[in-house]
Amino acid sequence: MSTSLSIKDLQVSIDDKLILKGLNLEVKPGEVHAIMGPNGSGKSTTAYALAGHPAYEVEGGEVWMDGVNLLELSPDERAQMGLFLCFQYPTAIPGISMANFLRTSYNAVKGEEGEDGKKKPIPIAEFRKKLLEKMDLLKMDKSFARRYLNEGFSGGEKKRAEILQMTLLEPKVAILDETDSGLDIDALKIVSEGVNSMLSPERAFIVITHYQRILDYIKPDYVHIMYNGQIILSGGPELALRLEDEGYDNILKSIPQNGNGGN
Amino acid sequence: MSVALTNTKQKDALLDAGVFSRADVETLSARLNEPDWLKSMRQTAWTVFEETPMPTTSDEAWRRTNIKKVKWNKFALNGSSSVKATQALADLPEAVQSALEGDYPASGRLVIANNQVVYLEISEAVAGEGVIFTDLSTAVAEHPELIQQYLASEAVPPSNSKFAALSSALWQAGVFLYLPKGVEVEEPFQVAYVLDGPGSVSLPRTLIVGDQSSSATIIEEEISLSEHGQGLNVGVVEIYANADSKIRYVEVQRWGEDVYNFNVKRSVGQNDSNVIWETGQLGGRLTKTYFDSLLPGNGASMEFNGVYFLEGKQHLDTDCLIRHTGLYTNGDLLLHGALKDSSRSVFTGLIKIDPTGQQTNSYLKNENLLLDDTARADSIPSLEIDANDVRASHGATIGKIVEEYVFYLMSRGIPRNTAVRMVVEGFFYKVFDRMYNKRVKEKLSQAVSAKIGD
Ligand SMILES: Nc1ncnc2c1ncn2[C@@H]1O[C@H](COP(=O)(O)OP(=O)(O)OP(=O)(O)O)[C@@H](O)[C@H]1O
Ligand SMILES: [Mg+2]
Repeated sequence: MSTSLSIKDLQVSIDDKLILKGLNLEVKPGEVHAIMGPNGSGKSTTAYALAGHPAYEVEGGEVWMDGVNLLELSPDERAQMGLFLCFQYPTAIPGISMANFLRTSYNAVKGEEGEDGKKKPIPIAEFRKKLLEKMDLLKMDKSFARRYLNEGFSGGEKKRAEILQMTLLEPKVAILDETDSGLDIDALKIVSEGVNSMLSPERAFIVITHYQRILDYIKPDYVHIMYNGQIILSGGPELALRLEDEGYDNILKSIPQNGNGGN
Repeated sequence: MSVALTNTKQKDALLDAGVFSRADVETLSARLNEPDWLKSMRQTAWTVFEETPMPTTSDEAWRRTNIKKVKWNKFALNGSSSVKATQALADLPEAVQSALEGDYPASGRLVIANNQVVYLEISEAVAGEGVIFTDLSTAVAEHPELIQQYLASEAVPPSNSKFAALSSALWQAGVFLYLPKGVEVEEPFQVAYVLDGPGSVSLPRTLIVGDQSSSATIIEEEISLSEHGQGLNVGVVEIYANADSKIRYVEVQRWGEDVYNFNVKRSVGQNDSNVIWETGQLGGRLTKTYFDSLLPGNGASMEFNGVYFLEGKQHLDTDCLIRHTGLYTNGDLLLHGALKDSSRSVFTGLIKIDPTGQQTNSYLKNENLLLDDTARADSIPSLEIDANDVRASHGATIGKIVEEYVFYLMSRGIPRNTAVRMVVEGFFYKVFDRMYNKRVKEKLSQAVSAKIGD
């Protein structure tokens, strides 16, 4: 089977400080990977680097998506290819309405190319219908569409808005960076259901989290532990349970030699 | 009164260029067959114009706007226009038609091209209520007492400034809008001022008088028929808002890129009146415009919602005064501008509260978005408060586009150009959101979006 995403020896720095120190990860279509790890271990850095944030300098390594060198693409091109990042801290932008933003984004990613090579926008009514459907699924109030992008949204509302975007854009690879934190118990369930409704043999998920709880809803095929800019341990779902029991310290001690990279 | 300036007669580039002369004033009065009071008003104004020195960068208000290099002799008064007078909107050039929004209802429409009235209409229903909407010269003949009472009086007398004096002496065509007591006009009045042909000069004068408890919206759009070719505009707007009246004055300034543009726009608000300025300043090579709101009436208020978008070598100097003289007056001004290339903006904003202006609330803010490193904005807000029981605050920001915003949008597949455009439009929406008249909001936001392009 082909790979969705292939990360080889990825090294990334911010402000000349090396954060990712040789990250390896293979993700195949249909798989769900969970990444866990202590604060500051580089989980969000991984997510940002994959999305192409300009502040994250790639110092070495490769990232392939569907046979394309992802690192050569601009952030919008990566999204158009089917990469989606649910941000840990979504940005609020004044003056841009959710509805306008979502439609522009949808057209850029999903718009069908016309004969002139330009993307044809979806008719407004058709988009509206689609949007309301998805908002309904995530139990979001219609009024959200009229508000400014993430402005004044509560933490949980922002996360829900991120998932809304994901369900609209139907990515091939979705990275969820701590989407569960800040969600109340009901919201966690709704959001997880939203994610689960999207599970498909063609789609892969990378779920970054600190808690076993979300993994009760979204069942991972693999769990990876990240430490000091590398994946140092990988396993099945049982690894997350073990982590919850033992904590990072004990697990780290049990690994013979830290720093040789993951699988 | 004339002052002898024997020894220190300064060089006056505008006067010396010979574009305007006292003979022009006489010829004009004769051609328009003007009454004596107007003739002498123009003559007096011309004297003031002659005696007022040209502003230079040593004048505080002109410190950052240098007009020393303007080649005044490139301009000629009375340049003819290709736009012929007509009774039908459809005969007007496309740019003029689109400014007038023929598809929408309007209470009246007036087009002035190179100082000639080429189109005028007023809705019968509105005229039936006693509203006067006509060109200023016609108003001089038909309503002399009103014009004499208001024109160049309290708001913008010739003594206001060099350019105000020039306007008083040589205004050629203009708008007169009079709202009788208690008349509230729903649909806007629409005016297009047109500059046509290189070297053209436009001297527009707008006089708006709202009697007690009246209300109306007037939209003025300024356009050049060709993007290139120098033009000169010297304009004055006077708004007299009598007790409890509400006047919304909208300006869409889209002069061509070689136009030099000088304006004094001033309102006088009596008790409980409300004057709303809504402006989009987009065109012109160099602009200096005053928007002054005088609030002598108790409970008078003003609001200003403005945007500008500059590119190339455009220079825009906006000078706003909110003067609180009456009791519990209100001021609220927000002006947002974005600048590309090596364009430059200057904002001077003053909240002045007189000793009588107790219980005043006033707020003034200018925000700038620099889209290129070569662009520059200066923003100088200030307060002058002589009363003790007031609330006044001001602010200014000058910043670059927030890259985090652009990245977020790009991470959702939106190409960089579009993302930047969205962020800039979003920045302007903080102002557009304050515009309660939907049509004005649409007109201004579309004008700005068209200029931002992609
Ligand atoms: N802009 C920045 N400038 C300097 N250091 C940064 C910057 N962004 C992140 N870092 C550092 O990079 C390291 C990894 O941060 P990252 O956000 O990837 O951690 P994380 O694993 O997502 O942590 P958490 O679980 O707290 O979200 C941290 O030490 C952090 O301080
Ligand atoms: Mg993180």
